[in-house]
Amino acid sequence: MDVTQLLHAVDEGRDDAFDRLFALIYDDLRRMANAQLRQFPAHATLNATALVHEAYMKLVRQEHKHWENRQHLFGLLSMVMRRLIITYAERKRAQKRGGGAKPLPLDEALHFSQAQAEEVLALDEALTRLSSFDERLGKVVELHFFVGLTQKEIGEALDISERTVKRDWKMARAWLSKEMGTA
Amino acid sequence: MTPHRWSRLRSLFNELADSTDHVRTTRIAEEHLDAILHDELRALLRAHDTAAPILDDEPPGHRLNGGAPHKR
Repeated sequence: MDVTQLLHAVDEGRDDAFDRLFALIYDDLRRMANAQLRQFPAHATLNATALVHEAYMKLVRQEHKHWENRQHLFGLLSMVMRRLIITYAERKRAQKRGGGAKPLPLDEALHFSQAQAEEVLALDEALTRLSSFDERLGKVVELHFFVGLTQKEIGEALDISERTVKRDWKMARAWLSKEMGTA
Repeated sequence: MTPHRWSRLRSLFNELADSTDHVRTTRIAEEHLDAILHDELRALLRAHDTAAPILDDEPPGHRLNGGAPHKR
């Protein structure tokens, strides 16, 4: 069965379908996770496998699994991966403030500095604001920054031209930089 | 910002972001925008030149703390 057929099987509640689907897209997921983790180049110990497994656990715990197609599934996965990174950054901030935050399963896999954690959180907040009035620009940034897709891949995922993706990224990048106070 | 104003801002930014003709850039902005949008556009164009390092498209190893500001 291909991804689409397995998505339907998951939707129908077939027990083994989710595991078979995950096995089928595992390589894609690892590539996405690797791309995402490359955003934190100062550290050589990042572990894409751990990130993928965390994403899997989050998805498998969902009570209602309904995905319309491959694009929908990968869109959801990108949100999960973004959430994982942000949760880690929030914990990092809490630890600095002496909040006694408990380590996450990813703590041994994800190591970035306090400054990087703050920068990622600032980006996440600005991105949420951008998405509130321009959803497509927000999605382009999420897929590029948090998932690491190329402009061509983003175009395919969002069903827009590569040229449009390029223009969207440029505008979003400037707006986010302005909002983050670096311009 | 209303969708209409955002749309105007996006359109002009797309037209001007890669322009090196700053005289033309300023003229178009002044002709097409009210004061608030004019300021917003100028801030965006400035941000385009000095994007946050975390958003820089440099190869890995040049981002985040090590990322140099993007120069035109």
